[in-house]
Amino acid sequence: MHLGVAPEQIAGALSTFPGLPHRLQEVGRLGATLFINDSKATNANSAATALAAFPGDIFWILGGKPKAGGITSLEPYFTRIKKAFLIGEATEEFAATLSKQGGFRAL
Amino acid sequence: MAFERCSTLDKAVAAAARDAGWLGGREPIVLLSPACASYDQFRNFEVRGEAFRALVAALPRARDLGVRNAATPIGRADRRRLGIWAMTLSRAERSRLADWWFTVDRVLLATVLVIAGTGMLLSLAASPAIALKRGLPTFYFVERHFLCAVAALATMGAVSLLTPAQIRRLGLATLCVSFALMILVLLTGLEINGARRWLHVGGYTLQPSEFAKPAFVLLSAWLFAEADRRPDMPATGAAVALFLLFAALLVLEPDLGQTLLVSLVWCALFFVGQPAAQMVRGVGGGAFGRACGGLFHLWPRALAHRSLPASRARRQLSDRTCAALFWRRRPVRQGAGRRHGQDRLTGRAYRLHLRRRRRRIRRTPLAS
Repeated sequence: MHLGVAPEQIAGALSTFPGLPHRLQEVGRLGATLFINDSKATNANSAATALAAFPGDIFWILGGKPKAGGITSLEPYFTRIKKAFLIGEATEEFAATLSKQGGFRAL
Repeated sequence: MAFERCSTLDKAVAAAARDAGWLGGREPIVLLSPACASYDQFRNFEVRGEAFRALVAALPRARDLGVRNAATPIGRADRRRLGIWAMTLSRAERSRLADWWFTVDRVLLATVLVIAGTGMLLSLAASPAIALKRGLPTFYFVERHFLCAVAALATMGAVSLLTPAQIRRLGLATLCVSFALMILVLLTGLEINGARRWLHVGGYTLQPSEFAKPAFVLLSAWLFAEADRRPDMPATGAAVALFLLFAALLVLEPDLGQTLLVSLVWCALFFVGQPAAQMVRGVGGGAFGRACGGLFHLWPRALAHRSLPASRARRQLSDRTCAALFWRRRPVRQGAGRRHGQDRLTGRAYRLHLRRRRRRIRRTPLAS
C-alpha cells in the first residue's frame, strides 16, 4: 500500500470503526426491531443514503423544517418503506407527496 | 404509502415501535432520517438525535409491546413479577422454543388444555355406552376423539409458531378456500335434514363453514384494527362486506345457528374495536351513546358526566380521567375536575401526588 499501512490494519480499523454519531447510528434493538438514528440527514439527498442502506421493512420517521424540493426525489425508495411517521412543520407537505404514491400494502 | 401524522418525535417513536413489532418482517428497521432541518422543534440535529436515543431507551420492554423474538434478558425479580415459575428458559436464548414460550398467551393456552382435557375425560366416561349400544368396539368414539384432539393440538402449536403477518395471510387463504367450498356446497352438496352444509370426499364429510369461522374472526379483527390505525383504508366497509358475504352463505345453506353465532362474534369485535366506540360517540353523547356506552368505555364517561354538571367541564374530561373516576382512582390529570371541587387531594395523597409528579418530570426525556 502507498502509505505503508498493511491491509490487515485497514481491515481491523474498518471492522472496529463505530460509525459517526447521528449518521446511520444503531441506537438500540427491541426484539427483532432495530432503531437507527440518522438525525444528521437534514435533506433529501442524505436521507436517500439511509434509505438505500436497508433493503426493506423500514418504518421511517421524517419531518421537521422542510427544505426546497421536499422528498419527491426519494420516490424510488418508497417501496422499501412499510410506513412513514410524520413530525413537525413538514407534515402536510410530505403527507401530500406520500399519498400521491397511493395503493395499500395490505397484509 | 401508509403514513401517520405524529406531530412530535415521542409520538412517532412510540407509533413506529408498535407498528414495527406487529407489521415488521424478519428484521424491521425504525429509521429516523428526517430529510429536514430540526429547527422547528429542536435546537439542532444533535439534540434531535439525542432525543431519539432517549425515547428509544425509554420504550417499554419488548414483551409488553408484544414483540416477538425478544432478546432482553430478564432477572429473577422480573420472572416473579411476570409470574414465570415453572420454566427457566433464558430470554437471551434465541431458540425457537424460547421464543415461543415467551410470546404465547399462557393463560389462554392453559384454558384450552383444561377444556380439551375435560372433553376427553367426559368422552371416556360417556361414549363407551353409546358405542356398545350401536354395536361398535367399546372405545370406538374415545379413539377417534383422542386422535382428533392430538391433531388439533398439533395444529394449534404449529399456528402459534407463525408471526402475526403469516397468520393473517394464512387466515386470508383459508377464508378464500372455504368460501369457494361453501359455494360448492350450495351447488353440489347433499341435503341432510333439510340443510346443505357438507361436502362428501371419499367417505368423509367436510363442513367448509367450520374452516371459514376462525379465518373470518381473524380477518374481521384485523380489519377493525386497521380501520383504527389507517384512516385511508376503507377497512370498516370491508369488514361489513365480509360479514354480509359470510352470513349470506350461511343463511343459504341454511344454518341459522351458525349465522347467529357469527353475527354475535362479529358484533363483539365491532364494539371492541375503537372505530365503533368513536362512531357511537359521534352519533350522540345522549341517550343512545349512554345506552350503548354501558358495553365499553363510554360507561365511565357517562358516569363522569353525571357527576359533573357543567357542560364545559364535561367536554374537557379526557378518557383517562373518566376511567379514573369510574374506577374510583384519583385522576391522573388535575383538570376540570379540580376546578369544580372534585377529586381534591388532601394530606398524604397530595404529598404522594406531588412526589409522583416530580418523578414524572425527571423521567421525561429531553426536548421533544
